[in-house]
Amino acid sequence: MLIKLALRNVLRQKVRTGMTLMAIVFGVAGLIVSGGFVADIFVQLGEAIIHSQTGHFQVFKRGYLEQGTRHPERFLIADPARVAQQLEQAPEVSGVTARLSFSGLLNNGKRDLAIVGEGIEPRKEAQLGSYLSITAGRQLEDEDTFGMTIGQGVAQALGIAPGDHVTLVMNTSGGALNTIDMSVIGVFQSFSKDFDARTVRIPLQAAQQLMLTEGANLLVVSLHRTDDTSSAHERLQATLPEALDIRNWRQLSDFYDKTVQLYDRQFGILQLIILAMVLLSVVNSVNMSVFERQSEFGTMLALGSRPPAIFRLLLVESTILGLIGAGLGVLVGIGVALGVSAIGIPMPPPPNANLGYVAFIRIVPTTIAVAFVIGLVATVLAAVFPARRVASTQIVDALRQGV
Amino acid sequence: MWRNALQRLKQDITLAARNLLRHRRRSLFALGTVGGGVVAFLLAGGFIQWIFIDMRESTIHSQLGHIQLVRPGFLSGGQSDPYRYLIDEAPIDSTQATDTPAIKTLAPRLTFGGLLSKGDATVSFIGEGIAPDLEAPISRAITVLRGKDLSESPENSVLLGEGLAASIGAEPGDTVVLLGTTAGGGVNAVECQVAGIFATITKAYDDVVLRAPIGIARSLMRVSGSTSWVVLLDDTAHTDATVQQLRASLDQKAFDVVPWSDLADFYNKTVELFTRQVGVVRLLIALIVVLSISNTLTMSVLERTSEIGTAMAIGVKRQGILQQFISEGLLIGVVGGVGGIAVGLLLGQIISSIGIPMPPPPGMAHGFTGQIAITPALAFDALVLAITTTLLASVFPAWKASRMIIVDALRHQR
Repeated sequence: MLIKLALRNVLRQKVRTGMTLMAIVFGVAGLIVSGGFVADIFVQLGEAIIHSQTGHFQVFKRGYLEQGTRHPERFLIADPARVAQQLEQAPEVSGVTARLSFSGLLNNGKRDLAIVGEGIEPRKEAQLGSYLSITAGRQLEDEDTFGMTIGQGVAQALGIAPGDHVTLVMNTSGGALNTIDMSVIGVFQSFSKDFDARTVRIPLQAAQQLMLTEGANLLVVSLHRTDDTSSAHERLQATLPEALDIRNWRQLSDFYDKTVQLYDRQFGILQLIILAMVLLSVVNSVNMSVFERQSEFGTMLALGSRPPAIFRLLLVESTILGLIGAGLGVLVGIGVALGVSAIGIPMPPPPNANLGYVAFIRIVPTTIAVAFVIGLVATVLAAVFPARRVASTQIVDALRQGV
Repeated sequence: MWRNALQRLKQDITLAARNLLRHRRRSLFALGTVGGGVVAFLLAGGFIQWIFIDMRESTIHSQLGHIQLVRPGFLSGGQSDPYRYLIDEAPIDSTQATDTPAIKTLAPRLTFGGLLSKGDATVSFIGEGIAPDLEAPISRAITVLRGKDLSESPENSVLLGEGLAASIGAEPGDTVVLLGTTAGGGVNAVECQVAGIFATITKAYDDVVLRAPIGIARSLMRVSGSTSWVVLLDDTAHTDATVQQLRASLDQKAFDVVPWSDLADFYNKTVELFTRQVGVVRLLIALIVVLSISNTLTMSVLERTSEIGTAMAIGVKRQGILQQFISEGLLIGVVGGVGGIAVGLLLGQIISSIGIPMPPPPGMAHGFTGQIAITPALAFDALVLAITTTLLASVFPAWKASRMIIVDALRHQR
């Protein structure tokens, strides 16, 4: 009975209902869109780190991360192919590639530059490294036994271009120096300028020959979906022998966690401001539309309705409005998110990088739920104060009001 | 004619003010929305502004300084062949530096490279020769993890990057040997003590760089000059003027005067990206402000339908109604905007004095305290936003009100 009456009231006051609904819908949609946008920033940053540097997981000998830069030859995985095969059997895994690290000097005939090198499996790496773009020449391929791709910064510092020949000087496991002549095939650019300034990549086999080993330092595992990271972590850990350690990308990238924390706070404050604005406008509309109807409630009181009944009626009306408004807001929010995502917001390159990306608005279930609840609760609570005031007004005063 | 128009305007405004005062509750709601919107806009904008200012200052004080003086071409090719870009004498002598009050510090730097060895481990490095005492205010981003900074250590000590130290297993107090090529092409070695280990934002930098007093670097390379001079100013706002001044007084062919903004790739990109990201959020805030203001105004006009009917019934022209509601909107915009700015400034001050605790940015050990920096330009923007929005928002309902049919309006909501 009460609900029916409230519903009729809501439908009768078309303009007021429309206005209040609009405020709620804007608010809820605004919260969803801003939340989705911030969520997208985090996801994009994570994907960038996964695809340009860490992969989803890295498998290596225990202690490699801490002491490996000093003696990479002591932390070799003896039979990388067998371990890789084992890892690839997990359903979440899309690929495994081996890397061998070394450091040395690159000489262009006139001068030396200290570089950090990676021996890689070109074809598998190409699947993983979608963020590593080639600016001159071409990608490394499996057939290029003595080819090398170099970072843009390395190319600039030494003044070399694809086609040039360079000498790579590196330490062998014995501590002696070993040199090899190679030709430059391509110049790459990644998300990190510092990475580009001192990294070269050569085929794994060439690196293995130079270091006189069959092994590799790292196995980089990529997954089909980033969401599977934590579930796959334990499963993969169980299949590995005791001497090997597996870390996921969040553990590997201190940068990501800290950036996310900082961004979270920075955008959190902006979202707080949005929230305050939404609350203000919802409370404002609800308040206004209740007070404007004072003479109507005066009439009801004069006809014998009790103040508590009017209070209840207003709360139920408000709840109905809140439900409809928040529901519509969710729909509008999702619609806007989908619409904007279809077009995409072009973004300039992130710091330490030279490539821009396209931002989307993610549809995050928790954000949507929170926005819905905020819209509903704000509307209901907003009605409490004016409803109490209106219900307790003197009948004659209320009747005279709002003319 | 002019006096007439002025008279009418005055009358309009008086009438609008009276109307607003009469509908006290409605006016308060409208003012609250406008003021709240302005406050939200100011706080959001001020917070973003503060983040940028803080980022700028920490970039300048991290390593760059405000201006660098180098030989032309050094920035692209100097890393691998510093000998070609040496500056033998200070480009600005000390009297000239003291004549320019903006210049606080002038410090030489020497970039060099070579091999670093300890025991039987040898790795290559990139070295930065600096004047430790002069550089103290421009090394905020360099965190000394263990040991001491160069300024508190004897002359022949070096500061190693974290990764570099780990790769040869050096700890503070150890003795290391720097091997380098001299300007003449020969090989030279210098024995040094490790004073400390440092870390910066960039791991790749820490993996290869060591910092040494410029005297050590000079004796290793057998040169007497430096590759760049770093200028620190008292205020970042003086950068452009000082750059102009230096460019005019120095020989263009011999020196490049490079302001920090040309070097701060990380900062420039962060600002560009962050501006866009934050721009989207700010747009959302502005949109919500605009929508809620127009919502409230529309509502408050529609609630007065019967009043409009009465006014028209006693002979007020449609144009009169239009004018009346638009001037009411204008008045709400001005009062709400000014009030909002006052409240925003006050809130900004209060929040700044309490501070917003922020987690440490990537690569730094300590968090910082966020503040809100409201600039006059921002306040002006907010005022313009408030007045135009309110004005625009009142045009539609005012137009609608002026189109009403008298009898319908009179009968409304009875």
